[in-house]
Amino acid sequence: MIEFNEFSLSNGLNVIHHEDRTKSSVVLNILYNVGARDEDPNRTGFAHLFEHLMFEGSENISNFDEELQKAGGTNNAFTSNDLTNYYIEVPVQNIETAFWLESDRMNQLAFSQESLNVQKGVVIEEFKQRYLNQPFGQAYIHLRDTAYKVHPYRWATIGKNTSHIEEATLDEVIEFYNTYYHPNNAIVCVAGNIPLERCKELCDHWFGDIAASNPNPNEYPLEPKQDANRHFFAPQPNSQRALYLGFHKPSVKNQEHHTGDIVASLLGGGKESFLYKQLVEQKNIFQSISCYNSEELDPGLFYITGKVSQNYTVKTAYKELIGALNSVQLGDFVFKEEKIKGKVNKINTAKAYQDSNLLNRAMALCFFKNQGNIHWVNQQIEKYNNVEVNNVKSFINKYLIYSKHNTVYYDELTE
Amino acid sequence: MSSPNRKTAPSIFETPFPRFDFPKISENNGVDGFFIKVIEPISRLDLVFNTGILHQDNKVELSACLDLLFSGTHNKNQQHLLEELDSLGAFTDFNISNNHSTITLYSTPQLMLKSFQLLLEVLSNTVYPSDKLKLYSSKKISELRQNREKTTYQAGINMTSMFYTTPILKNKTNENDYNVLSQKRLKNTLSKLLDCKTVLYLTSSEDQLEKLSTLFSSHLPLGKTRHQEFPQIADRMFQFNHSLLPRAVQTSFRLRIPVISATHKDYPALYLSNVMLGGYFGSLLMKNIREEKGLTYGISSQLVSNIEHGFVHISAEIKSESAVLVFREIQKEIHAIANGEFDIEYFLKTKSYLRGLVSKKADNLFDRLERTQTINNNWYKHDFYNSLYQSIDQLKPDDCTQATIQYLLDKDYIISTSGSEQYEATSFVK
Repeated sequence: MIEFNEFSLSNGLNVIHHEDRTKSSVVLNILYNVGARDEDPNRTGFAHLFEHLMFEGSENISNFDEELQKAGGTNNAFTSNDLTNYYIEVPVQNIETAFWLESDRMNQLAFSQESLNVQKGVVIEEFKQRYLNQPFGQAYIHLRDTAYKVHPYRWATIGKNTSHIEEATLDEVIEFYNTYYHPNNAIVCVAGNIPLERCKELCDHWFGDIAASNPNPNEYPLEPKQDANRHFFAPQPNSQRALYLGFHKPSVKNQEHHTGDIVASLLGGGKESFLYKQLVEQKNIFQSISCYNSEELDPGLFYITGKVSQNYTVKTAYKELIGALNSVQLGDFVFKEEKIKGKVNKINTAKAYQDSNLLNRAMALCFFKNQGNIHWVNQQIEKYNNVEVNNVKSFINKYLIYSKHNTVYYDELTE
Repeated sequence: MSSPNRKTAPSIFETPFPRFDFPKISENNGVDGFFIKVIEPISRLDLVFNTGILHQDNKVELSACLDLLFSGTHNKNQQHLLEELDSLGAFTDFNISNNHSTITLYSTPQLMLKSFQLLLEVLSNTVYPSDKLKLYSSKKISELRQNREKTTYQAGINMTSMFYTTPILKNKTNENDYNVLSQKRLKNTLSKLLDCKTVLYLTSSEDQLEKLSTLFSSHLPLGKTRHQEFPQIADRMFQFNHSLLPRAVQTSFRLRIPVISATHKDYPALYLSNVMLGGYFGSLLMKNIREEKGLTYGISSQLVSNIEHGFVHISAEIKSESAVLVFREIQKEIHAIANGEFDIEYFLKTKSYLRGLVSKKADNLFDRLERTQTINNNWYKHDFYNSLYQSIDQLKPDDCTQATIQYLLDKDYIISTSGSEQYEATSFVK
C-alpha cells in the first residue's frame, strides 16, 4: 500500500506527496504531459531531443547538473510516446535546491543554438548506439510504422530517422516549450523524508508564481481497425533471422491490460511458457521467443518476438508461430486456473520489489495520476488477482488475431 | 505565497558519508550467514559459493551449470519446477565472478522458506537433461554469432584478451566451449560448486537465517574453503587492437590502465581522481566529449579494484571517425588533473556529489547486503567502506593530482576499438 496526499496549486499544478521517514533522501519527480505522440510527423524524435535541452540551463541557472551535484543530488529523465518524466534525488537537507532547479526551468528555460547543435549530436549518437548499431535494433521502429497508419504511435520515441533530429530548429524548440512546459500540464510528486506541510510550503513557494497555460488536449487521430495482415521485410546481410509480431490491443487504462500481462507471461514469459515449449523446446524452430504487453495510454500493441533457428526459414517459423497461436484458440484451453495464479504470484512479488524503491513509488504515483486515477496505484494486485481463465481466453481470441496483425521479417538479402 | 528568489541558489548543507556497520556473522550448523533487516515485505537470499571462473577449465561451464539449474531433477521436469517457482511468486538470478558464484533467490518473507526448499531440491537432484543441454548450447552458439557482429562485444573481448594472461580469461569464448558441454561435466561442475564454502546473506523483514542454514546443512555437504585465485595481468606495455566491422555505424572505444588494489594506501585518492575524470555525469570526460563536442551519448571511467589488483577502464560508443580525437581528449583531461588544472569548486563538487550518492545508495535495501558481500569475498577489513569514505573526506586537491601523476598519466595504455573506420596503433601512441 502506497500512502499519499494530493493537492493542487492555483495555477493548476497537481502535487502528490508521499512520506517515507526511513529514507535519508527526497525524490522530486515531475511528469510533463507531452510525449512522442504530440510530435509533428516531420519532426519525430523532437520530444526526446527537447528532454536533453531541459538540462542545458534556464533563466537563472546556467548549469543544471552542476548545481544539483554540489547539493549531493542525482537526476535523470526519460521520454515515452505518452509523457516526459524528470526526477531528482537529493539528500533531504538540500531539497530546496531541487525545487529551485525544477522551478527555474519550468518558469523560463534558456535557449541557445549552440546547445541545440551539441544535443543534436548527442541524440544522434544515442540513436546509433541503441538502434542502428545493434542487430535487429530497428525492429520496433519498423513494427510501429507497419502497425499504425494514422495514430502517432507509428513512430518510436527516438524518431523515424536521424534527419528529423538534424533538421530541428531553435524556433521549434521555443514553441514546443511554450506549448507543453507549464504547471497545469505537469504532475509533481515529492516523496521521502518530508512532512506534508513542508512539501506544501515548498511547492507554493517555488511553483506557485509560474503562469498557467493551456493543458495538452491529448487529442490524437483514432487508428482505424486493421482489416488485414501487414508485413515489413527487413533484409539481413547475414544469416541471423528473426520475427517481430504486433497485435493491436487496448490501452493500459483498460482492465484487459492486466489480462494482457498475464497472457504475455503464459505465452512467452519463460522456459515453461506455451510458445517456448512448443516452438523452442519441442520443434526447435526458434532459438528464443518472448511476449510483451505494451503499456501505452492509447490502444497499443501486444508483441511476440522470436529468433529463428538456423535450419528453418522465416516463412516456416512464421507459419508455425501462427499455428501455435491458433491451437491455443481452437483446441482445449491449455491455461488452467492454477497456472494463471502462478503467474499472478510472480507479478505480485516483482511489484513488491519494485515498490521497495522510493523513486519507483514516486514515478508510479505520477503515472497513475496521469492515467486518470491515482488510486489505481494501490489496485494493481487486486486487478491481477481478478484475472480468470475466461479473461485470458477472451484476450487471446479477441486480440491475437490470425488475420489482423503486423509482422517484421528479418531474413537474408537473397530471399 | 512568497515570491521565490530564483537568482540565488538556496543554501547547501553538507551531507556526511553514511556509516556502514558490518552485520554480525551468524554460524548455524557450520554455515556462515549474515542477516540485514528491512521493513518492506520482500525477502532476498544470496548463496555465495567460494568458487568462480578462475577455478574452471571451460569458460562457459559454470554459467551453463547455473543457467540450467531448473532444467529438471530426478523427480520433476523443468515445467513442473518452474511452475512451482511461479506459484511461490519466487524468481532466481545468478552471478559469477573470478572467485565466487552467487545464486540469488527473490521471494517474500512468508514464502522464503518454501522457495528455499525448492532451490535446495534442485541443487541436490538436478540431472541436466540432455535435450535441455543441447538446446542451451545451440542457443548460446547462436547468441555468440550474433554478438560477434556487435562492436561493443568485439571491443570488450579484445580488451579482456589483451589485459589478462591467465588462459581462462584471455581466451575468447568459442563455439566449441558449448559443444563439449555434457551432462556429466555439468554435474561434476555442480558437485565442485557445492563442495566449497557457502555463505548465506538474507535481507528480509523476518530473521529466518537459522532455519535456512539448518535446511541448507541438512540437504548439502559443508564444503571446504577454496583458495582465492588471482588472475595474471599482461606486462605493462602499450597494446592496441582494432576489430573491423564494416557495417557498424559507431566505434566502440575502450581504454584500460592497470592500477593498484583496493587495499593500497593511495586507493582513496585514485578513487576520487577517477570520479573526477569520468565517474559521473558531471565528470571532465562527460563535459568535454558529450556536452561540449557531442561525440557520444555517454563516456565513463570505472575504477575496478579488488584485494589483488585493479584497473581504470574508460568506455564509450563514439562517432565512427572520432576515436583518435576522443583518445587525445582523454589524455588532455588526465593531464588536467595531473597538472592541477581544475577549480577547487570542481574538486569540492565531486566530493559533495559522492557523499550524496553514497548516502542515497545506503537507503537502498540491498546496498548494505552487497557491501557486506564485497568485504567478505575480498577479505577486506570490516570497516573498509567507513575508512575509504573517511579518507576521501580528508583528501586535498593535491592528493588527486599526485595519484593521477603516479597511476594514470602517460602510462602504457591498452586500447581496444571496433567499428567500420580503420584505426592503426600508431595513432594512439604516447
